[in-house]
Amino acid sequence: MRVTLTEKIITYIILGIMTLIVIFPFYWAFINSIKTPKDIFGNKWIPFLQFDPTLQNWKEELSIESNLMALKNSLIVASLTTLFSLALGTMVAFALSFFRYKGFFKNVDIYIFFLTQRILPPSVVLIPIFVMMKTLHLLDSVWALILVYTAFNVPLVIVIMREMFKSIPVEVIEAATVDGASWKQSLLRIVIPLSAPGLISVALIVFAFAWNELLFALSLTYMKAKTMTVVIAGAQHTRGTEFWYIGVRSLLVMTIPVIISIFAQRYLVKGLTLGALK
Amino acid sequence: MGRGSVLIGFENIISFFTDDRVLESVIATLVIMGIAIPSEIFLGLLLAVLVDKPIRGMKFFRTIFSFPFFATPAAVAFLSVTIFYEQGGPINSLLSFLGLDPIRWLSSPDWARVSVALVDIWQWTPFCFLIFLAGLQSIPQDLYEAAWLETKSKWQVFWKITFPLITPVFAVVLILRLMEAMKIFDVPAVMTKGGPGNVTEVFPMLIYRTGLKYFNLGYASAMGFILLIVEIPLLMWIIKRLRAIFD
Repeated sequence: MRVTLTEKIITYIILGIMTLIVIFPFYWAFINSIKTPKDIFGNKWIPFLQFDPTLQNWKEELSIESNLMALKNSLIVASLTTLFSLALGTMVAFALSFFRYKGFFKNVDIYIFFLTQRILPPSVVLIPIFVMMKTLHLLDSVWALILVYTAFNVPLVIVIMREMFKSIPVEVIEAATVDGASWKQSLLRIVIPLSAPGLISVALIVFAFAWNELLFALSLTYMKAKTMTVVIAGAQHTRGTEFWYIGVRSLLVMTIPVIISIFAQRYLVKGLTLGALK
Repeated sequence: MGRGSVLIGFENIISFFTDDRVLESVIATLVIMGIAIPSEIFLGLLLAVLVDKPIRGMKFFRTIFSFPFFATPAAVAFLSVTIFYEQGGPINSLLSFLGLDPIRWLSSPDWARVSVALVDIWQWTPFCFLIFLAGLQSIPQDLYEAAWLETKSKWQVFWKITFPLITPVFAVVLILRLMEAMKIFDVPAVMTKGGPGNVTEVFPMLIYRTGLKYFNLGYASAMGFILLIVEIPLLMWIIKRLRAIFD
């Protein structure tokens, strides 16, 4: 079946249109963020040519204390979530790949048990978790978010890391054990270095997911632990539709996860489908 | 909770089934999902089939197409307020340039749901596309060659080879999208705030508001519990599949 020239051209046209649609909101946010209020309307699309770009909006937004605090919170929450889910998930994946569990809960049952955390709609457990955090006096603390996000993201780590570990022959671990290595040493010295690409990829995906989350951030924080998504969700109440601020703020939040996506390509489909696709 | 709590039996469950607000939010959720999911799957499959050719630059496009579902949904929704802006916003400007009437994207009850669905389509079509494409590219090339020699019709090749082989992928995408759609919250919560009126108040948003805005924690828990019951068939399906695919 040959690919004709016409087919090729049509393919590129479709891909081009799709790319434009995908890119447009980012571009729109960007040009609005560098416009003065008077330049917002009137179809001005090209900076320098049609309007004079300004960094004023960025300066103003970045000098607001609560914005900086929210950015800091988002960073802390996303980083620690990544760290904890990776630490826990890698160990679970290691155990599931190299140990055999007997009895009522076999490997597959344990695997499914962890995965259900991701399948479950979060709104089902929203209220119970809120009550739990209240009892633990963790409301409005970054730790509440870190705990919840870790629980929701561990499955992703398990799926991707198990996939990575599958390619490591059991004999390698057995040989190491014969040479006197404990399972801790095999995990740290052999298994993890061999699966570094998967580890990096899943770390990026988890970071982005934790960074993007809104529902729990909105429910469990209200003042000092607010993340950037919460700031965004509450913004319209106090300010009307001020295009320039909306541009700056949405870019402040979106840029990091979007840049991350460039580097997280490799195990993306596997992770997002929870491995439900062979 | 605390000292004031009384066991009220099934009162919350009963009021759930007689509450108009619940019915409205279920309808809102179903309408938005009903517009968004079929469009995403159809567009994703169509585009994947059209693009599934050995061409250069595919890696570049894959990267671009993964931007939307990494872009913070709350931020996208926030930004959409300006994109759907009714006087002089980019979409209505384009419409008037084409000589069409402007659309009341966010203030008309019917269009508000469409707007929420459109944002969802923007975020998730590329995802469906990438999964379908991965599925298509795992079909061995010789199968196509053989079928092509046999039939000499690309249409036939699609229906006889591609389509049957892509069906399992189709099922997975559908289930994943349904699963993900049950989580819909960010876009209506930020873009339309559930409005105008309650027309875009989706079910998770109703749970959030009932529990954490009006502090009716018991009722909100009951809602969450019922959502779980409703979802059990879906969850069973996916668990069965994950179990079958383990090793």
